[in-house]
Amino acid sequence: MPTLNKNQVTSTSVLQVDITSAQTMLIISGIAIPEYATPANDGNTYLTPFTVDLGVYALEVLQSSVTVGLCDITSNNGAFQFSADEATVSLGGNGKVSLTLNLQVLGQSTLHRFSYQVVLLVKPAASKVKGSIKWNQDLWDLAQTSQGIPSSLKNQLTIAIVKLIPPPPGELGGSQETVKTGHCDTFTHAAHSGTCEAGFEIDGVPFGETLSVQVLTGSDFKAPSVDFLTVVQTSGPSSFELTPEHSSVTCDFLITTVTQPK
Amino acid sequence: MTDYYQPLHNIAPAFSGPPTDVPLTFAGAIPTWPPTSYAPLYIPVAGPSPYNSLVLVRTVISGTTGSGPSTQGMAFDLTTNFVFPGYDFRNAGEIAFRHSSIVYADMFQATEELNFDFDQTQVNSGFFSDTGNWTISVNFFGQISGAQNPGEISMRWRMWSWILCYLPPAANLSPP
Repeated sequence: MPTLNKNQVTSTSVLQVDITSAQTMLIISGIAIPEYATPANDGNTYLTPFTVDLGVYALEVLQSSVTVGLCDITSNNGAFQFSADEATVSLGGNGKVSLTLNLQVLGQSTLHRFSYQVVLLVKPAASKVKGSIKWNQDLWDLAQTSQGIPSSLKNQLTIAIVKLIPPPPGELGGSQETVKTGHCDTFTHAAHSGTCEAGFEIDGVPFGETLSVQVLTGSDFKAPSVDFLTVVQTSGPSSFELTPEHSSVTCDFLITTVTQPK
Repeated sequence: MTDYYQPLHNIAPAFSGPPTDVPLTFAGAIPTWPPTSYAPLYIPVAGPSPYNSLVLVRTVISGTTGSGPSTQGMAFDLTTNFVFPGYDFRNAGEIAFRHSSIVYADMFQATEELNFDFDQTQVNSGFFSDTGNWTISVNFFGQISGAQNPGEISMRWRMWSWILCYLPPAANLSPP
């Protein structure tokens, strides 16, 4: 069955509405571009099912309502028929929600585009990226406070969840886009070992994207004069894709120094 | 207004006419009857913050066009009867809202055999007009040709728009 991915839809929008703590309403609208043409102008009606990847994830679909309609059709001199109907919503094994419908075309005709609007009541899937960041107090001697975490921690450590965008075919490189940022919410200073450790948990990380975690340090971190600071990932995947089944990942980091080559 | 199929002869003939080599021009607006709007549906929601309401707005709009050899392209605005309570255009930028909207064809009729390309390509944006009415901007392209006699086609579109916004608790939500 032909599946239309996110590159074959336009005018897409998703509303996420909180109904209760356990139920979320998702309203997904868009225009799909199947470019479905009759293989022959022989008086027969041609029918094919199409699937649209809606780009949303859920643990369970509790209720759904679908509207589809014609958007862009072309026909040349003669009898014609177009239809987009029998639309249904399904939840895949990976928690991905899809729209399936039948397209019918008669005559020398093409159904280029159709509109869809899907209203779902779902049990939402929660995602999380968590981990820790350690450094030697020589780099930034941050004293532990008796109440909560030090206020300066937020300005000095930023955790960025970045989406990795591969290069076009035949090209090198690629790019990245920050999809979520967060800060540390725990802090400990082990005086006996001279080690500082901050922990983070970031919720609401997008599903279905190739992501990685980056740690950005502030100017309070100081490296010895001949060295420069670097952040090394010590555990966890360097890149990952979250799904409702695998909705959490842990990545740990170490802020350290590297001696500049002479 | 009644929302049902209208025979062709009842449609305003503003843009019907014989085939022509001169591209038809639509002076910034698609030929239409006044749109039929349904009463907005107001749904209280828990969030996300700062939103407290989900508003469903539905509109039906129809039009007729004559035949011509050139592709007609335009952006037009579908204005609805959902008026944001207490709207003041001087503070329009302060209204926080998000929306998810579609426009689709649900009726298409031709007077004779025609070559046609009927194309509502995308929903550009949603916004509140100067009078506070919820409005959707849509791109449309159309081409009709091949008629031996003066021909025309009529079309009807439906628009569904869900708007997530914050409505003051004391807002008068009665439809106009």
